[in-house]
Amino acid sequence: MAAICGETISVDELWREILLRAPTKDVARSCCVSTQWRGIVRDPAFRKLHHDRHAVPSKDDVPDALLVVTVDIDGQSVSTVVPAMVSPVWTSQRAPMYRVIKNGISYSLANVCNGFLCFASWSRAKVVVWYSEPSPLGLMGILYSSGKRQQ
Amino acid sequence: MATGSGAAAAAADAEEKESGSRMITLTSNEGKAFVVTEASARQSATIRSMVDDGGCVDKGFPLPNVDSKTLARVIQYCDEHGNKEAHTVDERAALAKFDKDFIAELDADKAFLYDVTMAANYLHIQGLFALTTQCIADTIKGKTPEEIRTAFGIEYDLTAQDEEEIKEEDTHA
Repeated sequence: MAAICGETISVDELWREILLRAPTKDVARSCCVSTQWRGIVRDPAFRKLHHDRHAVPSKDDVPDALLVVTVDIDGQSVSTVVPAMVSPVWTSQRAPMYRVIKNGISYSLANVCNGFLCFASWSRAKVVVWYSEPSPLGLMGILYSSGKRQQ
Repeated sequence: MATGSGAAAAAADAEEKESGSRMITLTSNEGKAFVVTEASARQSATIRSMVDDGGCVDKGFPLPNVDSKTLARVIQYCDEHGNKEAHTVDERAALAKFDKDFIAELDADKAFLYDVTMAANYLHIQGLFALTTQCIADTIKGKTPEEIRTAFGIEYDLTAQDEEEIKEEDTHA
């Protein structure tokens, strides 16, 4: 009869497995529990594994990476800053989906609808419609059109 | 050709049925024998590989690291996951409910939960191991280090140097 003598996990390894499943905030606190826990969570290999396991994009996460998109409109550069979904929450406040950091002289965000963003200018006839959608790589955007503005 | 493949499929089917109905004996470290279906036993990757390697299925498997109480509970999980189908939404929901009730019951007895976790690891029952370790991880959630020490009976053994480092980390954060 072949007895199953598989190697048993050590207490250290067991806690490691458990802490890998705990949220980041709790893992951070765990370094103050005991020297054993401190050793586990301070191990760079553990940190990497924990990060890989928990850094999963989810609809509740606030992205902390930004994708800067610059669009040339009538010779002016309009930049939009788009949060890219690659990392978990770093702030409890929900960041705006879009932030126009530099919009040349006159273009500004005129309307938002179902992910479409409309940039318009009071002094120019052209409007710019920008559409974005989340993808595993971040928010990918498509510049839709520069059409005539209805007065 | 068609009849040939049909016969082969029927033979494979019969073989599958046979292996599905094969019974396997698992023996706890107290010598108590538990007879389970092969499908149930196959939840354990350790047993699965031994069966597939043509191991001694008829003689059974003694488990010197698992006591009867723990083994009975582990088998309860394996029976549910091994013997039942999980193809439809309803079947999956029923399994999810089983898992929820199963872990809720274990959660009430932390020492036993620990034993089951160790057994799940020893027998390489991935689903059960993930379930129990996640349950323990959830216990940690939102607790202060002091509360964690109390919950798991951990002794405070940080040195003055550790405390100094923690203070420093805190000021940086």
